[in-house]
Amino acid sequence: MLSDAEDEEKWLAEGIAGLQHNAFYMHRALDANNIRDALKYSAQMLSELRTSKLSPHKYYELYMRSFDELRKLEMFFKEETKRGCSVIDLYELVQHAGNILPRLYLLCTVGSVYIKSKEAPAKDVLKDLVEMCRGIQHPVRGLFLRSYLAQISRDKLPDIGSEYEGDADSVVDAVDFVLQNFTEMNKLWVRMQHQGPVREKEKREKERSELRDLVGKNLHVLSQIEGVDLEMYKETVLPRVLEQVVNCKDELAQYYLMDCIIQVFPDEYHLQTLETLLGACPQLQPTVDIKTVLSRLMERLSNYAASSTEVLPEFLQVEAFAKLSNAIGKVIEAQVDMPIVGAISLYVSLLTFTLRVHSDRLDYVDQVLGACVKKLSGKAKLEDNKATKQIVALLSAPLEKYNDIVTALKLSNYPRVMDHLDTGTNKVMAVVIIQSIMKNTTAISTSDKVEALFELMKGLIKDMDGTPADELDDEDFKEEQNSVARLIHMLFNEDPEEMFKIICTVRRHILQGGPTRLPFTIPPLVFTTLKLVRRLQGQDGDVAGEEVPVTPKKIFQLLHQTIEALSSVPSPELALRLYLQCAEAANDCDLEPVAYEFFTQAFILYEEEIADSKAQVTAIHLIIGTLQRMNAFGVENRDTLTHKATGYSAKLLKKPDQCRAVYACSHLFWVDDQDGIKDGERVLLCLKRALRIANAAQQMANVTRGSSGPVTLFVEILNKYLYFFEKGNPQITSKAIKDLVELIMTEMQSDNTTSDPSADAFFASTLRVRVSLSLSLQHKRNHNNDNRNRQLQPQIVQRWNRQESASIKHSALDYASLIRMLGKHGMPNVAMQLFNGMTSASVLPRYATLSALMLCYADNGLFLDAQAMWSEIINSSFVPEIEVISDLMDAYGKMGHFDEIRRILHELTSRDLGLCPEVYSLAISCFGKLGQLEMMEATMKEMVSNGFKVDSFTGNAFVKYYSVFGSLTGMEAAYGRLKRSRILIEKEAIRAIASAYIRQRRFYKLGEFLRDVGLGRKNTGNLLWNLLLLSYAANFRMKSLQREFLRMVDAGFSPDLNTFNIRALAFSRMSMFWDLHVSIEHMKHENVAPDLVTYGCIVDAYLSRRLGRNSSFALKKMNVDRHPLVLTDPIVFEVFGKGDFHSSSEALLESTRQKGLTYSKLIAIYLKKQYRSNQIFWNY
Amino acid sequence: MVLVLALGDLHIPHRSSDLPAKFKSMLVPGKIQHIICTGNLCIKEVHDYLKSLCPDMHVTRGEYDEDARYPETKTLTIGQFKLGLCHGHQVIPWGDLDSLAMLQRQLDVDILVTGHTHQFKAYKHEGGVVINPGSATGAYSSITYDVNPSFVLMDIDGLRVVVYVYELIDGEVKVDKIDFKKTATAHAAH
Repeated sequence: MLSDAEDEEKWLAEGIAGLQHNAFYMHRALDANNIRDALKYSAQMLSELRTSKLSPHKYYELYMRSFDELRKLEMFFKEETKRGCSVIDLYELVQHAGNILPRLYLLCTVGSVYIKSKEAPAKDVLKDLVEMCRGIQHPVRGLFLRSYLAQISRDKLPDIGSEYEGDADSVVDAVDFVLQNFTEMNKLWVRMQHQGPVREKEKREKERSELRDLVGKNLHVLSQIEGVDLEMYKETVLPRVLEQVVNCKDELAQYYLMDCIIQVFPDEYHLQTLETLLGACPQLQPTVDIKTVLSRLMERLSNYAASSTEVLPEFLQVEAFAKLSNAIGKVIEAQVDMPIVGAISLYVSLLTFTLRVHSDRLDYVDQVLGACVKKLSGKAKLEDNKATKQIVALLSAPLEKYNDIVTALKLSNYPRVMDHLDTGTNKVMAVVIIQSIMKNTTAISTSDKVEALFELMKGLIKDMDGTPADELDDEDFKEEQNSVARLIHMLFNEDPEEMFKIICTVRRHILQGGPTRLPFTIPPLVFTTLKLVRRLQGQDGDVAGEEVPVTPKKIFQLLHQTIEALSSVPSPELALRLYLQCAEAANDCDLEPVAYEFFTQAFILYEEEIADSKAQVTAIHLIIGTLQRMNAFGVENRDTLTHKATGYSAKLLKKPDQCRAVYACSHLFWVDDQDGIKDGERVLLCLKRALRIANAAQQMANVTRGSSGPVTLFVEILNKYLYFFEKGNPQITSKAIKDLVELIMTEMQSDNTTSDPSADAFFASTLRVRVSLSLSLQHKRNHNNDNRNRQLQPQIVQRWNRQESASIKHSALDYASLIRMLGKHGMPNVAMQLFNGMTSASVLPRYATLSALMLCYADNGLFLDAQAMWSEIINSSFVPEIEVISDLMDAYGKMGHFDEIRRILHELTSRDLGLCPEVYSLAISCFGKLGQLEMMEATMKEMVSNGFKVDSFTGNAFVKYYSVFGSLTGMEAAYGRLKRSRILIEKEAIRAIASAYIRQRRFYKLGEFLRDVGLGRKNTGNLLWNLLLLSYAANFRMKSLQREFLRMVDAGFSPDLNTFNIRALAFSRMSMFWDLHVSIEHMKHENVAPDLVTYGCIVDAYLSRRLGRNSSFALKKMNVDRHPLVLTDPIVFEVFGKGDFHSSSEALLESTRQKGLTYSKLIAIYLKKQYRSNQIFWNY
Repeated sequence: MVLVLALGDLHIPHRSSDLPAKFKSMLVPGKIQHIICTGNLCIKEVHDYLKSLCPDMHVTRGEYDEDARYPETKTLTIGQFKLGLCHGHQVIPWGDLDSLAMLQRQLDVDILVTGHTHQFKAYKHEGGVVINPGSATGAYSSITYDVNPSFVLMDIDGLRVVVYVYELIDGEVKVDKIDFKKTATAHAAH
């Protein structure tokens, strides 16, 4: 074969060389105007075309080169005739060429010039030429020659309006000419196949196929002839062409030419000659691909119909549908071997045509489907992929056209076609149908249509025979069933009765779906039904006396049975949800027994079927949530159900879940409606139960993890307390809330609690709520009980205030107290979050809050934070309160941050807030308190140098701290300065100085000091006198003691307990029994009640002399049945110390909780003890 | 500026066949930076559809969701805002603002988004916002009658969030907006 191809190339090259050689000489002859040579060489050149060695393809190349040369020759001839050479002579002349083929080419060329010269009628010349061309019977050479003829004659046909138009019927001549040429060419073309060896038939067919356009070109020329009107086409052209087509009995030619006819002639002609055209079809060879031809025809016609509505009547007029349908039937009948896919694609084309042209004729559409069913009937289900694809196309076409499944449902043959699909494709088609419905949001509005639709989709609805379930892909299956579920929402009718029928129809179908499908299809059905219930709701009473066909009650019955079907799946979680939905709907219809029944069903499922703990939690939430909304229940039913629900809640697997469910149950007893149940006591019971569970959870966590987590549970419960408190539940007291808050604080502080920032934040924001209850009320515009709450609000704040601090009046101040409280509990983090939350709630922080937070930080050693707060306060418009400054300084002082105190001092004094004296005073006290005498001194100096007057308080403090921490000299100097400043020394400083002297046992100096102060001073009470007496008693200067005592009485001071005790102690230590007696008598006389110290003096005095038994002598004068108390000034003990009886009795009093101890009992116990110790002493 | 789409309770295919076409044409990929969905989608197809609008999607579990992996609650931070997400059937009484506020405190969030009632709601509450975007399909609800399909777009910009509510009323989309400003948290201490 390869050599063949090579040979061919060689032959072609030779041919071309020969051609060019002769062409060269021809050109020379033409230039020389030598007509004879020109003809000679042109004839020789054209001889190259005589070859039969070349394939049509190569031959074509040679032909084209010759064609170009012939154009030049033609030009030359034209020139010649202009120069006077007779064209007739030329015509004669060229016939002298030796070989027929060159002769005919030259003749055609001159013929062309001849026609142009109009020396003879075109038709005669053409007729002559076409006849003469018969001389070539070799197919390839003949075809090309005639092609040349067609080519040159194309613009010279005696057409209407053409310059070559002759007399009357010259168009007929033109047509005749072309037809004749066509006929001859076709014959040559067909004959081609019989030439050459049989084994090369295939190759030849291919070559033929390459040449087909040469033949087809004639048809094209025909279609271009102006004169070929419909009449002529119908009468002459088409019949003659078809005759040729049919008669040639060649498959290739027939297919090509039929197609050619359809493509080149106008649509309008086809429509008018449909019968003729279609009539030819069955006569074609059985192997011809007639369906493609017909499809193309129908396609063209469809497009034509679509181009303009004006043409549609034409279709009706010629009964295009009937003819096409008929023809297709015949073709399918005739071509027995046609594959099924071919037949179906024909129907698809016909259907497309029908939908385009006769969109109103559903019967036509149905007829096409019917024909298809007929073709398919008796055959097994389709397995052929292409064929099923075609059927899907067939079935989809009406859906696309009408955008409405309702129309398709009217087609009786539609489901019958679907029946022929295999299960898989059937489902695909069903999904296509559903998608069409979705896309066009078609409402299917009658039960009949629903019935028909579900019949169509039965592949999706139930298991078809012989489909093993496991063959299904899970994903696909889900998708299919979900689309069915979606579809159910498209079924709708305004009329409840019809809607109910629809629901029943759907139900009947989907219940056949089996356990795998029900979970998908039942929910949408239930909800569609519930929507119907809602429409009927409240309409019951309207139709009085009449038989109401659909009542909610009846529907609920149906729902009950529908949901029950899920038990076969089984799908308890879904069923439970649906039952609860129904219960709520029944509640809305005021059907108590029905609602109760649904609840019972839900409970049964919960108890028996739902085992997974997580699922249980969700189910419980849904049960409680639904039950909470029920208002149709009477007391008894309600109690039964709430009791059960609470029981379930407490039995959940995990403690935190239990706890949450139980506190949620509290809402079952408190419904915030006008006539909702309000059982405060049971609310409290639930909350307490929740607390117990939280506690248990805490302990369990402690055991298992060594740390406890669920502080958050407590906070959640606290929130519930606050909720019900706010709602006005009288059982929830503010005390309970406060206790809970403290419990949480303790829990959070405890060591084994893992600190949890989120719990901290939750707690902080919860605390914020209790003080910002009032704020939240503003946001509750929609709240029904707004007014009630508004009235409640001041109460709440007040209640809280009373507990915390009487001075607090505003809610924001209350933050301050909370923050302080948190600070003292060591929870600065919570305090900070509370504060942040407050600011983000756009509550402007008041000074009190800021300072509270600052102190909270300072107390907890967070000095940086405290400093920051401090600078915020000092830089804002707030003037800090002196108490706060004091607290802050104390806090710093405690930690030894003295520089901080100085800084604060300077910040304040430099700002001149009018607080300077006080601040200095504070600083002085603060430094003094901590023994920082130098700093105190410096501050004092600074204060004085800044021109501030030292007030009595500061001066006294100054002295006091010198006495406590300084030397006696320092103290005395300070006192001297005080005196110079003309400030009166006050009690505290006096006491401080006194105790400093006593510590150093400088009793004389003490006496001097007291005299210096002035014993006559009345505003210090007996203090000065008592101290003076003490200074004598200390040294047991009994006479001076007695003297000064008398002077004291003389000066108008009445002796008090201290006075007497100082004396009694001195007497007791000196064993001056008589003086002791007298003193006690005096006491009695003065109505001064003795205290433990007094009794001690007596007991100790007697016992020291081993006269214990005689002590009763003294004691019987006193009331020994009193409760023992110590009322004596402690400074006295600094001198004398505590007596033996005094200290041992004090220890006893502290250690025993025994109540009703009296002096007599104490003494008895003491004596017994002394007696025993004596015995021990003597025994050993 | 960040756009956050909040929606939920689609209940496809249990209670509704699909999102309204008008919503679908509004929700196009590439415009939304985050989706937060309160739950009840209920099937994977819907999840996939939403994911195609924006891959950054946060879902909590509704009681009808087939995907059990969704968490009960979720928190996320977008810009300066902390958002909390929960379906809401766990919060009893359903839709009760005070009880939702407790959840808001518990999650410690500025914006709490919940669903379940199928009714659009937005409150400014205790320095935060509580939003219920309603049901995007207008699905049947035992709690709310005559549900209109609705969803919420939040435009978060710095300390400001503008909540746009899209509601389909009688075939027309109505838009409403609510402005919310967060006060800067005083962190003077740090």
